[in-house]
This record gives sequence, structure tokens and C-alpha cells, in this order.
Amino acid sequence: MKEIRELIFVIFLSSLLAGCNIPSATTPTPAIQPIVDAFFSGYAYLDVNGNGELDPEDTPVENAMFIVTLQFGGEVGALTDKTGCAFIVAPGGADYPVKMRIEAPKDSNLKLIGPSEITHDLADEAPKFLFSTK
Amino acid sequence: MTDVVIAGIGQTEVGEHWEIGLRELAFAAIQDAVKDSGGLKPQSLFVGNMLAPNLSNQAHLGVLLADYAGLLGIEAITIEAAGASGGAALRQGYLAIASGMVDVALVVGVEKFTDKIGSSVEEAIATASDSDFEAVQGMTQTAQAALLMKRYMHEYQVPNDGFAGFALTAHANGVANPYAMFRKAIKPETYAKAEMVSDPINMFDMAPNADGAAALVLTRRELLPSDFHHPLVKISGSAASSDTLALHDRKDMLFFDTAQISAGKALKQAGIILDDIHLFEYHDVFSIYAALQLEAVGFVLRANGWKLAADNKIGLKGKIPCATMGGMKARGFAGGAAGVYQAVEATLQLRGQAEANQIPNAKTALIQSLGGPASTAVSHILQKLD
Repeated sequence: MKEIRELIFVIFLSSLLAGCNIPSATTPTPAIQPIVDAFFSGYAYLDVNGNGELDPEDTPVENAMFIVTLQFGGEVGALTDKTGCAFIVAPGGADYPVKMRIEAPKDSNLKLIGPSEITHDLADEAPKFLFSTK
Repeated sequence: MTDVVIAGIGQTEVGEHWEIGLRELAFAAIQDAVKDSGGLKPQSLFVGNMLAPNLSNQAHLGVLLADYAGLLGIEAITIEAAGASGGAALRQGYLAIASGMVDVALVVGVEKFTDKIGSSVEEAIATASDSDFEAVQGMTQTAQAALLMKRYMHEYQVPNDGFAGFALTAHANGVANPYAMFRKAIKPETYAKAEMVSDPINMFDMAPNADGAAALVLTRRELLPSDFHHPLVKISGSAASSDTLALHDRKDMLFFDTAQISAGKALKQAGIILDDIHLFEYHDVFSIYAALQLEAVGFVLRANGWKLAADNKIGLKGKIPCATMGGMKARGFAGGAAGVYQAVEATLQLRGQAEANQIPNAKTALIQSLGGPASTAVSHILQKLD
């Protein structure tokens, strides 16, 4: 008799717990991402051999400021790292084309070769900017 | 699309209004706005409020105000988005008019912070943060802003007085604003000697919590006579954006994503770019918020927001005038009314009625209201109609 009572109690307790609306740890996160960020990267190199063109021996330039001007006029920017790469996130995405430019590292004597600003479309590759010491 | 215009504005002095309640405070602003509109009769009432259920023991403000203002029968609802409640209420009013479903909308922001004092106010404000992961640990919004400012100063090597420019500008602009809580300019040495609230935030790096109400009457241009009695200001862009409540959930806590997203959308809708903006009313409830807004909106690259203030480029004669009537720092921070005050002040500028604080030839303004550390951002573009 006691065993039957224990069994009934366990069934009762189980049914109570099952009725509790405890959120499952596996509740799926909605897959829709209504807002998608835009990402931009740009590279800075030093024209080591002075031929005015980007070659394999040209070295990365660190701390150049890579700047993207979004269509509404807002600017976002980031410094290049040791590999000469700068990476920028534009929250909420961007309309294309955008304008891109790069500024030489502060207190450096580097001068940009080529246009000071470029227009960049979605399909374009990350721009590579070349600096000279001349 | 039809032009949604601001036909009437009203505001109360910001301060400690212990002698009156929410309804009387809001009604003073409503009365002025309706009178300024030439007596337009609102069909909808949108109330921006942040903490009345907690600090004033009063919810259901839409009906409370509709009743007291003699507007019973109309649609009357409250909008809550923490410190951005006023901006969010303005957006709802804008959407109602733009949709054509409503002809005349009344937008009211009202808050009474000072009926309670001390930690109970900070505790109430902390409900706007992530309760489970931030507030429960004892982190107030001031402490959170202090951590953010500390991180900013560390990352960008900002000197201790680096943020002084925001307070100096706000207090200088508050002098001539008859509705401002503080109407006295401060000197750099005053800032330097200010008492610390939550290191590195001193007394001048945060806005005073205060009581106040502001109101707007919105309608469509074609519903007004061509010889309307004062210059009209249209809302040419409106957008809102959301981010995580908790700072630790963000991939980059030193960039206010929502500020950029909402400003970008509003500018796009208005068909203009940042260079067309003549003044910016930011949400300077903390100086660090103002710096991060200037960067996120794109007026300046990241790490340089504080320099705009330090170099006096945000003054009335600066590159981008900000907090032109004193901002939240000097005018006072009236919670859910703050975003509506921004709209009232920008409208004064665009009408050419800002008197001593007038920005010459101001035709376009950006106003941006934040909830928490930009967990919500609501942006509007206001433009003078020719």
C-alpha cells in the first residue's frame, strides 16, 4: 500500500512539474536578422622600391587612418594594424557606393600616391593605398 | 509624402515642482502648445514618460492627461522607452499624422523626478538597464556611465578635464534659456573642482534629474492656412533603433550603434546629409553619451568626440552647435520629457525665435533621444518650411 502511495505521489509531482511553464534551455532564437551590419577593410602599403606601383616587396604601413564616408555623410574610421589592414563595421549596413580615403600615420612624412578619395561599390575589393616617403 | 509639421510648442520651466502634480505640470505645457497652434483640437494624445508608475505612483498617464486637459474621448496612450520616451512619443505622433489616420496629434513629455529623493531615484532609473544582469548587481546608470567613460578615457588617452567642454558649452547656452534649471555659465576651474559623483563622472559630467513637461501639436501642412501665424517646421525624417540593454552584451561598447542607425535612416528619409545639419540636440544626460553620439552619428571619427567639445566646436558659433538651449546638463533632465524638450528647442531655433541663443540661418536640425546607453535611439530631422 505504501509503495502505491509513493507511486501516486511521484506521478502527482511529475504532473505538477510538467505543468510548470519553465522556459526550455533550447528555445530557438529567431533566425531572422532584420538589421545587418556592413563591413569595410582597406590596406596601406609603403612603396619601398619607389616605382609608384604596389609590388610584393612593398611593406605594410601601420597606424594609417582608413575612413569611410557613408551616404548620409557620417564618417567611420579605423587605424591600420601591423599587416597594414584596417577593418570597419558600419552598424545597420550601408547604402552603396560609399567614399573611402586614407590618412598617413600622425607625425609621419608619408605621402599618398594616387587619388585622395575613391568611390567604392559593394562588389569592389578592399582598396589598397600606397604611400611614398618622397 | 505629405509634410508633417509642428504647429504648436509649449514647455514648462525645468526644476523642482513639488507644489504641483504630473497633471498640472503637463497641462501647463499642453495649454501653451495648443494656444501656439492657434487652437487646433487634438484627436490623439501620445505621452512620453519614463518612471511615473514608480516615482509618482501613477500609470495610465494618457487618460490622466486627456481628462485633465478636457480631451476625454480621444485616443490617449503612454509611450515608454526609458530616457528616449519623449523621442519615441514624438515618433508615434509623427507616424499617426504621416499615415493619414490622425489629423492633429498632441505629443507630451512629462516627468517628475524630485518627489522622491536619494537612492530610490537611482534605483528607479536603474530599471531601464538589464535588471537580471546589471541592476541586480547594484549597478546604477550613473555607475554604468562612469565605467563607460573610464574605458573611453583609457582607450583614447583622454585627460582628466577632457570632457569639460560639454559642461561649459551647456551651461553657457543655458544662461539665456528662461526654461533652464541652471542659468549660470561655469569656468574650466569650476569644472576641475567639481565634486566626484562616480569616478570619473563629476557633478558637471551628468545632468540633474528634474521635473518638467513639454508639448507639441503636430498636423499636416495642407490642413493649415497658407498664412499661418508663425513659421512652420516640418519633420522630414524619423527613425528609431534598438540595441542590447546590457553593455556587456555588445561587441563594441564604445560605439553607439543605434545612434548611427537611427540618424542614418532619418537623414536618408529627409534626403539630406550630415553637412546639411545646422544644429544637433544630443542626449547629454552624461558627457560620455554626448561624445559617443557625436562619433556614432558621424560628425567626427571615433575617439575624437571629446575633442569637438574641448576645441569649442559645439558652441553656438562652432562647426556643429549642440545643446543650443543648455541641453540636458543645464536645462535639466526631465526623463520622458527630454526628447520633447529637444523638439521644442530645435523648433525655436528653426523659427528664428531662440533669441540670444539663435543659430544664424538655422534651417535644419537633428535631434536624438537615447534610452539608457543608447539601448534605444530615436532620431528626428526638423526643417524650416519656406
